[in-house]
Amino acid sequence: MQSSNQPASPYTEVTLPTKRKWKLGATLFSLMSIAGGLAVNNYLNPPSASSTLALGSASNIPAEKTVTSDQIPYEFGYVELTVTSKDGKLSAIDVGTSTATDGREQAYPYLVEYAIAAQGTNFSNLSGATYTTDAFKVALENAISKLG
Amino acid sequence: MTDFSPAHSHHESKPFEHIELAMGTGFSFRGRSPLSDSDTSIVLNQACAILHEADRIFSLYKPESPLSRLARGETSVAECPPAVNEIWDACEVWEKTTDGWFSAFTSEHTFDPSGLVKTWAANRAAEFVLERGITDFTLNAGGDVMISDGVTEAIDWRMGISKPVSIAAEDAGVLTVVDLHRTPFRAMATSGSAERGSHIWNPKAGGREPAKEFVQVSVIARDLVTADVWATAAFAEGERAIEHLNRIDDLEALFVYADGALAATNGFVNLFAKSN
Repeated sequence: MQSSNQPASPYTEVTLPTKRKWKLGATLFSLMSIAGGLAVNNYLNPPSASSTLALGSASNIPAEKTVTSDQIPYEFGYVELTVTSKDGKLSAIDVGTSTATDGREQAYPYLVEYAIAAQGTNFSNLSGATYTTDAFKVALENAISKLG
Repeated sequence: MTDFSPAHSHHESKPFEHIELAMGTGFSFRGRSPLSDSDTSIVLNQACAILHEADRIFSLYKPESPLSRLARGETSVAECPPAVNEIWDACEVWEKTTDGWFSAFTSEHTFDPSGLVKTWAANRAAEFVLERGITDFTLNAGGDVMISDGVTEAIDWRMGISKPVSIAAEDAGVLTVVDLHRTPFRAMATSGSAERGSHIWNPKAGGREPAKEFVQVSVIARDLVTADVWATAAFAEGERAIEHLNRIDDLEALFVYADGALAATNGFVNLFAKSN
């Protein structure tokens, strides 16, 4: 949980209750779990960019280290990541425990099966939102800089 | 594609692709045209002029746009271009149709139709292209996709839905794929918090309360504007939108929760593409 004395975001038009900010952040974080570790690992360890992660080699940092990023404000809340490195590689990114879906049962478990079965089908157009926030990347870079 | 190549043509149609940046996003026309290359290019450029004109009128990011002036009380709807009145009326109708879950009238009592303008203009542009004789194409309007009745390639009937993960992912993955061949549906729109933070606000909350229950809603409809409006409305309504949309004819929707769980309207399961 985040502390209750967050500074006001420079982006929010209306100051939301602190918990809402946290839940929004948690919602964002939990998006990552949808992607599984793959997307994160792809981002963290792109073949050509791993040298920019400033993790150093296994010999000059502790075997395992966990740090938490600053609270990085974005339009409607904060992003805060806890990153663990082990033997010089990022081993975990903790995005907090989302309370956004407390107590809800998954109503349509079969849908995931169908959705995954259709995943490999080729297609012409992709539907989705189009705008990218930089908050996650900023939080990640911030946490990684603390690891180094 | 300047060479005439009968071996590869469909009834002498030639493939084309046109990507236009407008309204802060990308519009992509792709298909096959019976026109000459130069005529195809002229038609597409004229169609895209419709997009830019809508942007010029409706952008709230441009201080001198008619809509910005309207928002500041410097002009009236009657003095604005006719499109403003048309959109105003359409927004009122959609607000009623969606039981208030789509609203262009903000809690500050200003008019922000940006939720409608993109697909409204895209639909106009697509109609222009159809009228000029190009009937075999898809249009991707910044993630909202429409299919013309005359598409001839099987792949054009299939549309992917992206995972709501772009904050973390350099290239967002594909959540699933739908196939609209032999259905009445021609459009899909996706609303979500993944790409823009919570950009959709609950119009029924007093202040600007972001809707949070879903991270993404994709709506499939007969036309692009309907899909777009209902995707926005369903995202704002939250979990109750599942039953709400089940009561509306000719709509199907897939809902993604923050933890990755899925929900859908009753008929959506029939729309998943069959693996090939």
